[in-house]
Amino acid sequence: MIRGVRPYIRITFLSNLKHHRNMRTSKEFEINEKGVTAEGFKTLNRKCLSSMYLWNVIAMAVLLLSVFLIYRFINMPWIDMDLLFTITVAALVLLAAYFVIGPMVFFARYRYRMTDDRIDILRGIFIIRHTVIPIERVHQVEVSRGPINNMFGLANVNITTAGGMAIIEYLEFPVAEEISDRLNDIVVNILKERE
Amino acid sequence: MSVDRMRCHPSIILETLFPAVLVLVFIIMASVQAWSDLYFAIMAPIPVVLTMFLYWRWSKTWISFTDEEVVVERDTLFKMKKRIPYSKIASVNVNRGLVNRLFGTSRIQININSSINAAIPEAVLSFRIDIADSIREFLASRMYGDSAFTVSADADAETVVSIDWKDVLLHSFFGQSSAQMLSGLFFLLYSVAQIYLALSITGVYGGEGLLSLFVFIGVTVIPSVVILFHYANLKVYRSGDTIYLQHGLIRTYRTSFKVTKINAVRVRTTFFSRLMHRSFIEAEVVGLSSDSNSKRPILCLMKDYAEIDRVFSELVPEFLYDREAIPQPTASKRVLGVKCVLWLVLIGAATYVSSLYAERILASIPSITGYEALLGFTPLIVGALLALATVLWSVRAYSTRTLSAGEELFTFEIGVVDRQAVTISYDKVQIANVVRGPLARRYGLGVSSVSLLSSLGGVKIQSGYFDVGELNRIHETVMDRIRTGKYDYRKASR
Repeated sequence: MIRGVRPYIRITFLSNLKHHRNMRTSKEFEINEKGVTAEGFKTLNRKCLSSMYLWNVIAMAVLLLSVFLIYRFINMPWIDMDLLFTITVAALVLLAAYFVIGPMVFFARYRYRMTDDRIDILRGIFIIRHTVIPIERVHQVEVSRGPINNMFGLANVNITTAGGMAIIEYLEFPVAEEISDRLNDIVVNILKERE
Repeated sequence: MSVDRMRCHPSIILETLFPAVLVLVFIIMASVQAWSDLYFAIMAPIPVVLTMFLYWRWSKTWISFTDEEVVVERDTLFKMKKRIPYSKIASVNVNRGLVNRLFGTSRIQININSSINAAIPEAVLSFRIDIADSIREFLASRMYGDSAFTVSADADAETVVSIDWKDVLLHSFFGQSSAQMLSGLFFLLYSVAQIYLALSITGVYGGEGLLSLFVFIGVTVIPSVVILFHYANLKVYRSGDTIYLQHGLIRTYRTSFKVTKINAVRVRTTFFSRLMHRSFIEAEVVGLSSDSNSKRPILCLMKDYAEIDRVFSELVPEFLYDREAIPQPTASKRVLGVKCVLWLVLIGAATYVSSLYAERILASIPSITGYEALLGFTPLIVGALLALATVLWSVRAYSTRTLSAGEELFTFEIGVVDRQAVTISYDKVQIANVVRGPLARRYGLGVSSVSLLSSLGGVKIQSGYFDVGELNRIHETVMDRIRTGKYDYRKASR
């Protein structure tokens, strides 16, 4: 639903599903009443689910349209079309299941933490990746908002180092700005101390 | 060094023009059938217009060396003023191509510290040899301080290792990845078999096997010849904290860099080099890749293990420490085993489907007889070979990967067929990851992946399966060194 002149469109689409709260998570992802884990990691806002689901719906629609166009207009006599159709349907069903379950698992397993000298990101659907970025190595910080994230008032913080980039995704815009400002302040202070 | 503005040597016009004209000639030759007066009238002025444009660009481009920075200014349609502070320069390379040799010039390439453009020089300048050498020496003194050039880069310093033609030849062929070597050999054998069968059956040769032969040449021979030309006459020495490399048969490449600019050192072996008990040393140097042939600087071509150890300790003793290699835990066998089984199932399914298709295709061609009918077994043979390779790979993957962690350095021994021991400085780690797959998690295992700045931009180096606690120690040490001041940023940026 759209409410007045709010800076983003609030869509409750699937984000109020409660059942993912009960999803089995290991201790490292468990959050206390303050909304942080025992090690101080924070969680994402539920609005990220809406953003991911909307993206998945668009991706699925594009994929289905592509499959339809391929079957309708491309003639491939050397391929067993029945076998290909079975494989395509199976792949699409698996992908659809991933598109439904993936965001919930992603949300349940996304944690981030920022201290005075490091940033930790814990994330993953099947494969859990714990990323550590020493703030001393940060070259550039950028807040980016794609059109879908923008609809939900979300943004990413892109952190660039000399060896690559790390992203804290689906943050509420004020939170992203706050993290970006804090990171910039720390980096500027480090540089000042060295002068 | 004067702060007056100067232009590059005019030969830079030809240097730039030469590849463009080659492409043009190729296009004209490829479309020779379409030749007509009109076509020629359109194509012929292009080199002339291009020359005029390059002359105009050259005449409007000025370079000046101030006390703080190199300034490259261009006043053409697109105005440009590029300032490169000496403190940001990672390396300065000088090399000489055919045009440079004809005109007695050298090409200076300036690279800066950045993961984005580490592989692309920030500035490419061409000057007379003596001017180029003095510019290079001036830049090096600004980058490293005067002490860095107690020995001139082109002095007759003694090389740390003597590389003869046999070493260069062996390296150029057997230093390639085993996959590249084996696929090349496969195409060579296939080509020979095709030619033999064509001659023995029909007695007339109709060009059979030529395509496979070209693939072999493209995959194995040309890369080997490129390496051969690139690393011939390799001379490597160290003066103070600076390492100098000089090599090349037709084009001479001269490179120097401070040891502090090395982020990691790799001692590599390929399957074939291990058969000869040889290995070679590569370095990840910040912002060094100055030409498309040099992916990462090779400090020593393939030599025997003892010689490699000696060269390592003389050239980069900073990357030596008491290594205590931790093997992968026994639980990793289970992870590797399950992965192996999954791959075998996938290979089995692919083999089954391919066999059905092959059978169907062969059945539809009644004229097929003799050895051609054996083609039906190809998917089965390929599937069996892949399955065998997967099992062998999984078995070896357990024993070949290790992890060592010292106070300042850590080492990942990785690879199964082609192996490498990568020694990395904690102070050069930009991002550290610990990655745990669904199976590895059950056993408390994970894989470490660290991001560094390399000569090619950002690079990730990944370990084998180890206890997550051991892997966490890597980023904890990185953080600890920053917190306690053991990490000296001045040393890292010098």
